[in-house]
Amino acid sequence: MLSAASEVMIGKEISALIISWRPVAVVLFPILASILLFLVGSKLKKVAGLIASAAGMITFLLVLSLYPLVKQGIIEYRYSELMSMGLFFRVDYLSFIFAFLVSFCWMGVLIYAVSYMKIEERPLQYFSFALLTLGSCLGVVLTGDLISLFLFFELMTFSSSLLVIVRMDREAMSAGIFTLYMGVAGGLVLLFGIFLLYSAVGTVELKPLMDLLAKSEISPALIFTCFFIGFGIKAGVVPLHLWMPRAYAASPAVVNALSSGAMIKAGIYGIIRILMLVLTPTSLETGELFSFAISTGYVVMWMGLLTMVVGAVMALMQGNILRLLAYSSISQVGYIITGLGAGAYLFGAEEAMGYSGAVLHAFNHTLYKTAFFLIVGIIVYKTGELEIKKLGGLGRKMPLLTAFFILCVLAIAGIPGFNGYISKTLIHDALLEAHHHFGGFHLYFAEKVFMLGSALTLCYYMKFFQGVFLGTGQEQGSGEKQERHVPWLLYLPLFVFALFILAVGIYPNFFVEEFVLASTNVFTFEPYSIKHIMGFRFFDSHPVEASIQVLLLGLALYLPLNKWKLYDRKFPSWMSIENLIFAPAARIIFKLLCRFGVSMDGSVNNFYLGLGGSFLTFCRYVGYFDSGLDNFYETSSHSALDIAKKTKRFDDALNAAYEKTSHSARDLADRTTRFDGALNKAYEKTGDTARRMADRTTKFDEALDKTYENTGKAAMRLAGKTEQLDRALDQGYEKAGTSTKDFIEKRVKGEGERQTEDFGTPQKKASRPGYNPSEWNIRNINFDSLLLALMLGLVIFILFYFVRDL
Amino acid sequence: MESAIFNFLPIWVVMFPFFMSMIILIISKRSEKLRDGLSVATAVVTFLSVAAMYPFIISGEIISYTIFDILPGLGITVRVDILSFSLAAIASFVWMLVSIYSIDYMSHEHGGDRYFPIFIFTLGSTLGIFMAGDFFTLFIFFELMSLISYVLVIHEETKEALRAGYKYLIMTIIGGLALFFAIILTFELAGSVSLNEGTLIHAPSTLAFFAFLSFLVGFGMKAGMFPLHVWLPDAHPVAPSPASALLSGIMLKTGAYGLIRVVFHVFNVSVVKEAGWDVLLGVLAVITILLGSAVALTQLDLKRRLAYSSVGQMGYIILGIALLNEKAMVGDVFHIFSHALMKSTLFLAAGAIIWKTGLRNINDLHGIGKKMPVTMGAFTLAALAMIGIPPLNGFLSKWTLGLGALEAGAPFYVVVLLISSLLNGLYYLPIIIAAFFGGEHEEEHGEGVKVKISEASLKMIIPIAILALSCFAFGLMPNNIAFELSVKAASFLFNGLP
Repeated sequence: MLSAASEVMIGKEISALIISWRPVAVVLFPILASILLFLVGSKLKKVAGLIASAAGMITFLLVLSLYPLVKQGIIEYRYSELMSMGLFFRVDYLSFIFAFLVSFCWMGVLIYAVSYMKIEERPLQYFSFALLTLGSCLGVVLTGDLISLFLFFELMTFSSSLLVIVRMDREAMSAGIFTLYMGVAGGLVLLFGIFLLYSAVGTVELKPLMDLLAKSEISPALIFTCFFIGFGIKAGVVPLHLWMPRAYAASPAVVNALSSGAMIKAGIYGIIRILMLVLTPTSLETGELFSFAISTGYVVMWMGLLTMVVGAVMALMQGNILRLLAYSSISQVGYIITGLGAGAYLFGAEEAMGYSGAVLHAFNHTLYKTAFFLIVGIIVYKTGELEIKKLGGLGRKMPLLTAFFILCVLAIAGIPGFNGYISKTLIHDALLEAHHHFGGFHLYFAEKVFMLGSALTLCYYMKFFQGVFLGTGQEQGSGEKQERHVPWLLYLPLFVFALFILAVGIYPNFFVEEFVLASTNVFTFEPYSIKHIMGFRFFDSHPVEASIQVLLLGLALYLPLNKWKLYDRKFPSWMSIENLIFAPAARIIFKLLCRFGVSMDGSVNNFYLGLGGSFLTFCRYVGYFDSGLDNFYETSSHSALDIAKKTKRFDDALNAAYEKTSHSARDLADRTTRFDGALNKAYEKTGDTARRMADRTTKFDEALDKTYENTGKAAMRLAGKTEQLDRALDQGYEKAGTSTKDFIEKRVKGEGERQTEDFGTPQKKASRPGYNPSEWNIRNINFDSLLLALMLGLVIFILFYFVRDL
Repeated sequence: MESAIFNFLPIWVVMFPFFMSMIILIISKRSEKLRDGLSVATAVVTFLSVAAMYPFIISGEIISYTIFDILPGLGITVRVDILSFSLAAIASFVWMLVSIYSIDYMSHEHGGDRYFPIFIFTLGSTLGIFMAGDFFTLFIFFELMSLISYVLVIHEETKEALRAGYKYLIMTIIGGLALFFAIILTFELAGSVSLNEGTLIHAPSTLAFFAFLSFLVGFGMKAGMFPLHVWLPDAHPVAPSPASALLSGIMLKTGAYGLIRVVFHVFNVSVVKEAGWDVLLGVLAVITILLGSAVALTQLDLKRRLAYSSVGQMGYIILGIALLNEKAMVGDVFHIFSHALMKSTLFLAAGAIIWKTGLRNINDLHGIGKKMPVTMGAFTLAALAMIGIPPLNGFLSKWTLGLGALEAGAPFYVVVLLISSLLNGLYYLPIIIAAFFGGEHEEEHGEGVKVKISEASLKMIIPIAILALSCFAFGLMPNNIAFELSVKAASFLFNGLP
């Protein structure tokens, strides 16, 4: 609301929102031209420079064509489908200022380079990459959200690194790679900031977001730090400036002019947008939300002062004019940052003063720093030399160049009547206002530091001037052999830049009001602070006094420095920030990461291998065990087998035996059966026989009975007869005895024999009565004989059987 | 009628390559030209068949049916939802281009008769993983793919390749066993392993944790997750370059796909969160990212560097799963797309360089960009995408992943992503710069690329160029199909059907 009021005061309508594709054309045209030039340029080598500068001019005209639209309002163009998040172009006055200075610088440098690139190699690459960088740089300043900005920011990082290595010697390569790494790192930090901002507020549009941000948990300080580092690397804020001197020393002046004149402004632009716009509330009424911007502004201001002084001191130390200008650029960025910081610090009071000082200084710096680089380019073109010690005496040889140089020095030193004075005055006044507003020694001190920085700026340009333009330049004596004739075309852009330097210096209020203050409409600034600068009297006594003070201080510093050549001393290498902090930090981080990563990877791998190994060992043991078991089994199985074999044999034998036995058993059984049958029969027969025998025996018995009876009778008769015989015998004996006596005496021998035979026979007849050996009688057969007979019969039977079988 | 055709398509896209691989195997004895032609034709037809499912799938339908049951609740089933479709589409797309590339690449290699049938067979089994309707079916195809791709790994048959292949095989088998164990556990706990159930295990328990862990080992092994990644940097570089492109570009994604399915279909977001398993995943992902990127920085062999880079990039994907919110899942699925395109471009470009020059060491590649501008241009584009430079697709996936991390309240993960991006820059940029700008200086010393080298043949360049341009197209162009699919897939995973 109040910002709307401020617009009314400036007398512009900004409510209009214009949809136009012109910003897209502005960005796309140089990029397409670059690609085209790259593809077909090899056939048109001679006119590549002309084509490129024509493209640069057309781009500049396209940017200018935005002016009428920007005067009416804000230009927007949105491709919502692209990149799935949309590509958003949004041009307000601030964007236009930066687009203007970028394209203006580019046009001048490209025209200059048409002639200049004759002494450099690979002009084609230079021109096409320069156009690509132009497109991306314009993209950075013309986009309306941070994602689109980031896209072009990264493109710019890459294309500008390509510009740095256009010479492709070792130094350029290493500088280019270093630039690229720092750019990529910065881009990633920036991306982190964008992430945080988006997650906090859900949008990445470039507009006041503090109202939303205050509600989220994410600290704005962290977000700002990320953005400040990301953009600060591009801008060259002091601890992040390392790539600049390297890159500047390694690349042609026409690259440095672009880099210093325009590209670092893209970083500045980003810081302005974040610090002054994004991290502020939408309206002045919620004043407490400014507190973040105010406290940050204080830090930023001191960062700026540090950058300014360190850059100036380092510039003073340099012997190489390109490096000197590089540090000078860093120092000048310090002014701009100081202005911004002071502006933010003064939010709610005199913020417009710091802001307009910073923006105008960015513009002014583009003018004179580009001119400086172009002057150095001409020096290089003429002499091929960059070391101050080897140069000298150019003042007499090249008066026009000397005049331009003096003009630029006057501008950068802040002499009234030149543009530097205007912006420096605004920044200086902002510091004074801060002191006035907040009081305190530190702000007083800040103002003094600013004065010192300005004085040092004067010192190193005096050194430059003295070394290059004064003197005889005959120290080496060989400088002239390769001196070239400088074509007038190289001077042409210098005229234009000089014109602008003077114009801003002489008509400051027009530029401040028409350009710088017109851009405040999107910011939440106090109306009265804007009003304060309207009609600011730049040529009042106190700013001029300050300028004179700086001049005197500069001279006072320079004279002793020059007398004892203090600036030729080198700082010991350990004192450089790079060697002190960044290099070890980077080394430690990468060693840590890589070593840690490699050793971790290796150890995991080894762990697996070890695991595999121990598993293998384990398996081997199991294998041993297994083979032992196996052996055991084998041996046991062998023996078992043996046993088995034996058993088998035994078994077989047994089997056979059984078989045989069974055979024989069967046989036997068969035979037994048969035998049994036979026996049966035999028994039967025997029984029959026995019965018959019994019958016969009975009969026989009866017969025997009869026989016995008969025998008894006969015996009795026999006994009677025997008695008779006995008596007869007795008588006979008695007779025989008498006669025997005679007979024995006569025939003893014969008599005996006859007597023995006679005697035996009657005895036998008496013991077995009825015995008759020739007759079959059961009484003659005892049991043994029967068994014997049976067995005999059996054997005979068996024998008979076998015989039959066989 | 129409749906009948769509029902048929998933079986067709799996079985057709299987069938054709047999034919190619038979044909390859007769004619090399016919073999090559058939391989390309198969890949093209498969891609078109997958693409034909697009209208049906994009309308929110799911193709799901059972082919036959082995046991009740366990059978061969088919299921194609938007996630399956996304992965199948990118897989078959890359496969198609790689098949064209392979023709000339393999003409100088031995064993083409073995390569092409296996190549096509692997396509079928990979698609089978994506089209599987349950974990059992998935497991079958997973094992099939893992084992058959062993032949691709050892194709060169050098000692190194055999060694790496052995490692691959062992790890794969361990992974397969772990997966199998996990499936058994899941079946035990839930009585089903189907993807259709939505959530199988509703509450964390010790057994469920073991199931999760085993799934993690099984799929993480394939995905190259720390500490199971060790086979990857060995196996990918030794394979022929087209096979490396597929191994890194597509087959790693099957592991990530499996993990997504585990987190969303075996368990669900609340279970995983309740049990705190996302922390485990997150920690592993961070280590994987940093380790892969850091070790890649120290590698001098081009393909080995790419392989370690794959480890790091797979870490992003695992991180996307670990974050467990929809935005991260969009980035996750989109990074699957992106990485498939980027890494296959890089491997194919590296393959073209190796094929043409025989140089593998990064220090030897000075000035190659001037001799092979298209190849190195594609390499550059893909490498820049890898670093996350807008407007390439790598940026978009990193951006959405980062937003997911912030939504999960973990800006730490964003820092990890960015550090990894920086490391990516540190190991890709020197290659590019040396290739395009360092040449002349080094040539004076007799190093660098010989003068005679020119661009590889058209059949190799065109696939590389298409892949590289798609890195660009899927980043910047409007109607970003890949991104839409990712958004829909993530929404599907979190909210069910759209």
